[in-house]
Amino acid sequence: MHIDDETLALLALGEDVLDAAERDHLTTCDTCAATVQDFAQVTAHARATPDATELLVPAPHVWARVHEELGLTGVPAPLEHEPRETEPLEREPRETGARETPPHRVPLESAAPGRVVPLHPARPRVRRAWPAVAAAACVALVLGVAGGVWWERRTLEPQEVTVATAQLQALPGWDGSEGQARVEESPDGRRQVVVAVDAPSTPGAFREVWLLTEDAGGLVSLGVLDGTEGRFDLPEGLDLAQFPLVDVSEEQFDGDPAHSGDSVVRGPLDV
Amino acid sequence: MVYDSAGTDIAAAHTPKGPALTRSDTVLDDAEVADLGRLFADGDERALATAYRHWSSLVYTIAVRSLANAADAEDVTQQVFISAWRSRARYDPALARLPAWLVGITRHAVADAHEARARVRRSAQAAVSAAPSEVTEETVRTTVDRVLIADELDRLGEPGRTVLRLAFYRDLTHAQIANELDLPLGTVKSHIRRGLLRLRTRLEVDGAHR
Repeated sequence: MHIDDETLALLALGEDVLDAAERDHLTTCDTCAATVQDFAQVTAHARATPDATELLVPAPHVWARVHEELGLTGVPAPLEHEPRETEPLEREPRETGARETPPHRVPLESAAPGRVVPLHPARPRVRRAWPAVAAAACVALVLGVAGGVWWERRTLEPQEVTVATAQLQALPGWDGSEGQARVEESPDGRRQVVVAVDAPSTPGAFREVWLLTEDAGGLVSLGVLDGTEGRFDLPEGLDLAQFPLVDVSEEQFDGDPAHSGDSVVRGPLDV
Repeated sequence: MVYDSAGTDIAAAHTPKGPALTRSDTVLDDAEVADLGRLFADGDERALATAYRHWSSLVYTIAVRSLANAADAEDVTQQVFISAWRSRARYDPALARLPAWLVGITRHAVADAHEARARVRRSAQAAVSAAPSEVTEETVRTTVDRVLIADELDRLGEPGRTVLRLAFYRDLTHAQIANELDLPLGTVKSHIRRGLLRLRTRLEVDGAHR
């Protein structure tokens, strides 16, 4: 005779409800023991977050970015009629024990590095790297740092000073590819990135050069790399310390301005 | 799921509760979730918008709780829905509920974000060979399960929700709860059992340990 679920539930919550016979039964019955364990797990999860029982709502611009990046046409970009940045959503009234929590009660531990950076006005400004890209890139990043930074300086314009260099390493799927990048600063403060890539070219595709945040969580596009070497203006005000990774991706002519997720080479600038 | 010509989620619109276009409080029944999953897999953009309304807060909360950074959590949320949409051809509504699939993508996205952070830390500290604390896959799973529990608890009707809150957070016995809420003992016990079962089911259906 199994112990009834109500009793097992109370037991899982920590109440001392078993009599001697039930205690004996529980030591030998896998079914009852499993039920208690399930209930106890639920209880432990619930008790682990006593003041976090309300779900948080992402800010309206998150949907706007999804909408933009996917180029949706069948649904409106503003998902919400009006942004309700600070006002708690209308929810069912709580009877007791509930704490009202504003939807954006989120630890803002930083001013969000890698967020919006103005760039080419005709293009979407900042796009987000995919975590998969980030993870894949990390191998190359570690290699790049461990291998040290090497750069054979080629002085294209003698009056410019190289202020940072990067050795670009192949990402998975691009074995044997490599590249170099350097940041040059002219006397008037203008900065350019010179990128050279040695990688097999793919018919019907093109290369794009990006700067990524260290965690590859934010990125700016510098432009299309035509051939094996290119020179790209850095927007004034762009903080290289914030976007220290040079990334070259393979892009398709699919009309999607976002990073394809297919990075060819990548490496950190020694800024 | 049925839409009108403007693409409005009719199921949600029929429930006069809260702003329908922010987080939807409408609880979809299983058939509606299945319909939505099929439309999503078929590439209906309105299904994506509806899925976002219903589950973006779930995705975002998991990310916030795990990453402790609003900007990173927004990135993950964005990536999850973009990734889900782009890979919708691989989604089989017969195999998983749409929210379960989204939670799975979220889990990986959050793990990737942690991984990226750890790698950056390691590379930055390679010279001193510091051993940074790792956020394991298991930690992410735990976060997912906790958020799912919190969400499901939130969706319990009364008095079940209050009964469970008192049991969980104020550590009251069922007798004390019965006394406090002036409910029969049997009713309290029954609500505790049903509530725990429902929370457990939610973990099984949408959780990380399927």
